[in-house]
Amino acid sequence: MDNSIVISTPPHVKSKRTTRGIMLDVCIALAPAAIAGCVFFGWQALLIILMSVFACVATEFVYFFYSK
Amino acid sequence: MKAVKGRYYFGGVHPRGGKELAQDCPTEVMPLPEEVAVSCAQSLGKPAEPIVEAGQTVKCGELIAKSDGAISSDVFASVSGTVTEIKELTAANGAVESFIFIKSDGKDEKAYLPPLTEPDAEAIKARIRDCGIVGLGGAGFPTAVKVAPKTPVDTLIVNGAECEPYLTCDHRLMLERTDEIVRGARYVARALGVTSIIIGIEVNKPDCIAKFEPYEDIKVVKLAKKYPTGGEKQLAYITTGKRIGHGRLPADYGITVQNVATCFAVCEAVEQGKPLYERVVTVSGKAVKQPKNLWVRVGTPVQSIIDYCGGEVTEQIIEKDLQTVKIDVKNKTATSENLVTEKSTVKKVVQGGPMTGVALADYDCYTHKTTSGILLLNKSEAAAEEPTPCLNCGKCADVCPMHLMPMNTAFYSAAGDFEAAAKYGNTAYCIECGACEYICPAKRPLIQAIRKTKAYLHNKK
Repeated sequence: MDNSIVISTPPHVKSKRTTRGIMLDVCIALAPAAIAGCVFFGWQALLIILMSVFACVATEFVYFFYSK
Repeated sequence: MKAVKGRYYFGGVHPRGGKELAQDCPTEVMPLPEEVAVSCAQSLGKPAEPIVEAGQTVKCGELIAKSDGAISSDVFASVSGTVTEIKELTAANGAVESFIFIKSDGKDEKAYLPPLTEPDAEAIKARIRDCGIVGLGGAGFPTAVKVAPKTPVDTLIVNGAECEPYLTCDHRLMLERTDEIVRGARYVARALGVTSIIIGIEVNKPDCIAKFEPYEDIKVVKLAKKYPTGGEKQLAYITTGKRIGHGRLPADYGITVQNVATCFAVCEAVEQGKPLYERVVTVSGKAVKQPKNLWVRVGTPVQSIIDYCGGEVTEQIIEKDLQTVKIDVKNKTATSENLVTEKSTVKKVVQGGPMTGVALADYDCYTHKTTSGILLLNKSEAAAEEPTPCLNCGKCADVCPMHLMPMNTAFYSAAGDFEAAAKYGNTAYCIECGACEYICPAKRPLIQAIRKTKAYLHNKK
């Protein structure tokens, strides 16, 4: 599959910008604020960030398998 | 006249160049193919009806299929020889067309119409019709219909933008045949009854701009390097400032747009009586050994074009688990090394430009009057990713040159509701330029959704 010719509708050249790249830029932009929050408000701020990330990923995980 | 800058147009994208591969290759004449297969559907509208039979000898430039109705164009033999058969094949874009196969006798005897001297408007229009000239920018609209508009026009815009990446056929034509293009534009202007001729050339072609400046009756407008500056409605706004409304024709505003290659074909048709049977084709892409700009006869097999340009670029794959063993009997030694296979790097083969062209499955196809390029794209250039969900970023609406909403079209058509897709996405006015799908970060198949919606609208009528 990887080495055969691909057929699709045009355009056949596309921008190199991906969803992943955009979201990575969002994380990079939020990182200074997150770090400053942890510096000013202590380990509880870091705990909140980690709990939020875990809760979001877990919910998406459950929903992904539920909707399969 | 001295070049002036065009107006700024909101929308459009800046695709990667690719033009540097074939930009500096002067046009070469490809050797006569042994056999050509000329399609009878060489323009928009109804296909032409074949008027030759198998076994008949034809000369180069002879009429082999007569146009059927107003929106149709005549088809001519591109080599001299014998008609071997007339077969129905599936063309690259999926349409079933009749192909007339002609076996060349190598003599290339020509049968042109008589040349015209000092023709008037009606004579030029008749000659354009008799030589089967169609829009060579890629759409293939019969030029005879375009030079006889229902509303009077006062401006002729010659389209020298060539905004698609990789294609350089118009660029080389503008450099090498400047005077013929200007004479052709003057004939078209005479047929239309206009005195104002404007040519729009992108700024990435400064040599072409310099070539057209000395002509005092042609206004040169510099276009910003953006895709799709060469679209009819976009070009009309950039050069004249007239906004052509949705669903309206440029002729309603007194404007006609013609490609430079079409003007060149008109000049040859009027001055030499030469019908349209050959054109410049750009063979480019990183997966072809020698990118070139070739004069190609209509109906040439694509395989012969690729062979003439050196073939595909291959890479050497070293197989780790397989080995070749060389046994030297005389010296009683044996050496073994990893097996090296040559694998082609071609990922996509495109007939036309990369933003609007047709992807080919193999080289078993034939060129048309409207084929402007044959591109062999390798893995790093071609777009072949799987789509991911839409993230509602709105970039597609941002870049649309017609100010439409492709995300609505894609959303509703994915659910099957084509009525809502056409209403909220304003799909009927899409020019299918591909800018939205180019910029989409989620790699959604937007043009596919738009085409499905347009097919629904077409069937509804």
